Amino acid sequence: MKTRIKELRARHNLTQEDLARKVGVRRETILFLEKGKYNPSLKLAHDIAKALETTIDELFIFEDA
Amino acid sequence: MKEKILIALGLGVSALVAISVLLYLSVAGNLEKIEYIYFVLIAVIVAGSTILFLKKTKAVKAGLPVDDELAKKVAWKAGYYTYIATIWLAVSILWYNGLGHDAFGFTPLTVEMTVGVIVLVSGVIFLGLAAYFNQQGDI
Repeated sequence: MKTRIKELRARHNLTQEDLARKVGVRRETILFLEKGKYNPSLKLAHDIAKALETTIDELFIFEDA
Repeated sequence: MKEKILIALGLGVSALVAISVLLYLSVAGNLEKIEYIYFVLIAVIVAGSTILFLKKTKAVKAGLPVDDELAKKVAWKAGYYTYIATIWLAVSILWYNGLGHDAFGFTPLTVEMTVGVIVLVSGVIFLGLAAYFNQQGDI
């Protein structure tokens, strides 16, 4: 899974810490999400999409195995 | 507020354990081999938990949560593996006390030693696994 979190976060001038604070998770969790090393819960995916003013579809890119 | 109290409590307990061990060492005189092992394990647990609590303090100061869904997953998985490892450790001690004593002449561990080893080693295993899983991302 790839994500556009880093790109959209930069567009909103947010640091990892700012985004973490907005969605109520640790900074490390945002780091793993950006690296595509963590599959978030639907709630967290929704919260991040809302914080970055986008949709879950736009944020997460799933590649067919 | 609750998080701050828990962190302060954790740091306080770590400090108390460290002070107790230092006081014991200052009056104990000659130590047995097993006691050295205990103190090394206690030192690892105190150091590990202090680092953990200091990291949490830093997060609280930055206005970030200390716990989230990934942290909970890490704790659950580390706890589960620690449980399995502790069972194997207890079985190993049984073999050591039985077969080790009968076949190889090892000195069997007393009940106090066994309990001490199990409690302290499981603490070290948990901290080690939690630190490892924290670096892995999805687990």
